[in-house]
Amino acid sequence: MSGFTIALIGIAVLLVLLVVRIPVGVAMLTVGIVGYWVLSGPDALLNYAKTATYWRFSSYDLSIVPMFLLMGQFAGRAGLSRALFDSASAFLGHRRGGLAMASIAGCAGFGAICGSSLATAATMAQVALPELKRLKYSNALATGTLAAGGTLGILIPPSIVLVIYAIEVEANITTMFQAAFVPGILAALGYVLTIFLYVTIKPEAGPVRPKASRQVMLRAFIDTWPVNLIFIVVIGGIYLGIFTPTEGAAVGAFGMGLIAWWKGGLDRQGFMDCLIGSAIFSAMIFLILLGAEFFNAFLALSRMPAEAAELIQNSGLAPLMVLTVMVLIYLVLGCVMDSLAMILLTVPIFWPIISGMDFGLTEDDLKVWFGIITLIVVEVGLITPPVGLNVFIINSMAKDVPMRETFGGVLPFLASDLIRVVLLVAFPMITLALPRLL
Amino acid sequence: MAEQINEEIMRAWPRDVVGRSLFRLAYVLALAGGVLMCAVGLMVVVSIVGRALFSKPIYGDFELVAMGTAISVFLFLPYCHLTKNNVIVDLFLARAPERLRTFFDSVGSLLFGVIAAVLTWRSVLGGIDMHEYNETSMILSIPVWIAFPFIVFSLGVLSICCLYTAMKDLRRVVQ
Repeated sequence: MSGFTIALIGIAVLLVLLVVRIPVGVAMLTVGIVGYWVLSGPDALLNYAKTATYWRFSSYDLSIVPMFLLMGQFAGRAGLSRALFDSASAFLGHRRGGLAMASIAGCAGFGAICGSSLATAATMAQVALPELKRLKYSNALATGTLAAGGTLGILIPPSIVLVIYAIEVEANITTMFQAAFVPGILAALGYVLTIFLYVTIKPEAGPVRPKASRQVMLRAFIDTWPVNLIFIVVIGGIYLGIFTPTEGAAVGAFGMGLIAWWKGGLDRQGFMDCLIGSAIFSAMIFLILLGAEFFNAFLALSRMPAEAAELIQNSGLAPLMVLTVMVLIYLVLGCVMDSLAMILLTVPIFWPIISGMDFGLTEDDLKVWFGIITLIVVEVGLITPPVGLNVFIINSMAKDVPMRETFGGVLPFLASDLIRVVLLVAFPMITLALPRLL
Repeated sequence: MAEQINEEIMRAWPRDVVGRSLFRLAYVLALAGGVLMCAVGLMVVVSIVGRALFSKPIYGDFELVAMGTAISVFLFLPYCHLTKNNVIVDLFLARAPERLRTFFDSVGSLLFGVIAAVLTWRSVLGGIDMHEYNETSMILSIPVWIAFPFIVFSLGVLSICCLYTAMKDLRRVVQ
């Protein structure tokens, strides 16, 4: 049996294991270990397993993950989501659908200090949902906005998924963060535009509230200073090369911890809860990483990715065609899978294919561009039925809203996502301009 | 440290002695990993301040960061498993009978437990290799083996935790 066939069998077994609820990381570990054994025998496997686990986790770059997670936990404790939402709604609340737009702005702001979508959705929903309900916003608009807004957590840097992608394809993390900025802002603007169109068609969905006085606006804006400060220091410092992404993460976690403590949200118990919270999320991510380590070692041994790449490159398919097929695969996978697992599973196979094709970009540019497109498409999976984790989170917080209604509310935002993907594919410069400039 | 765990957190823990002790141990390990991560973060901040103000960074700090990250992450693993936070694809069996789902959860725990046990065993040998070959980090010459006792311990606890959840789920299926 050829390596290619064995790899295909391995992937099939992996899918079966996933269907029967075996944790993603465990399923990848199982298939990786068995596949490695089949291809190179037990001795090589046992030797590899001696230190592979240590070397996988002992990484300067990966330390960004637990530190950014800790920063996000602290940010949740510092009451910043309320400050962000209050500030944005002071400016936008008197417009039709304004509070929904303010929720998007709040999500974007929180996303700028938090690298995770679920955390952003949950944290912003806590402050925004009651207010949207009080003003009698339609359930579909309110929950749909927050579920979609949550995805900004990962699109706007810092972004944990992007760190993992960068490590996987050996791209520069700083460049990836720079490249994600403009598409992230575009995402937020696209969502605001979506809400605008939505309430133009259905004015009763987004009632207005009285205009806030200029004093209230100013005050509300000033209250968001911790977010602005941390964002400017951390992301600015990383963008300008003043410090490495790891150093940025450490500074951010430290600063955010101080702010949370100063705001009174961080007593002894609160601090311990933050540590445990980031420990659980880190373990979730690192178990999948460990699974990917073994699974990818198996794939590499089988030579399947290289052969598949050659096959597709010689098939005469147009590069854009291949990219489109990959995007479609991500959209389908995203309906049932977690974004990080998706990236770790597919990138080792997809990247060799893409890197050998001619998109008129240098290899480094291609890495960045493909990474941002991948990031956006896998994030779409967070709001597509039947398994949209963001939708689940928001829905569990708005208990009186049927799930169907939330998914319905998400649809217009999905449309905006798809338009953005097409734009980014058509114009690579949207992604590549900022890294070139800095 | 263990006796100060918040009651609200402990309420979600199982009642039986083995389960309770495992949860407690895993919780303390995760907390210790978190504290270590904080220490690593603080060191990085100190290094940046030193570099900016006195042009004196902590020499070779990135080696400590890498090693600290590895140790903390291993310490995180058992608690994440016990609290069932590992990512699963919960779609195809979402409507299946509870018994079937519990059965597959038990299979998942068992697989994880076997793998963790194998990795524990291999890490013991890996650590011994590192010690024998005097493997050290490039700049600070820290012996690499000192990370391994932590890793072996965490992986060992993880295997036992997996075994515990596998048995527990299996018992629920049989009943």
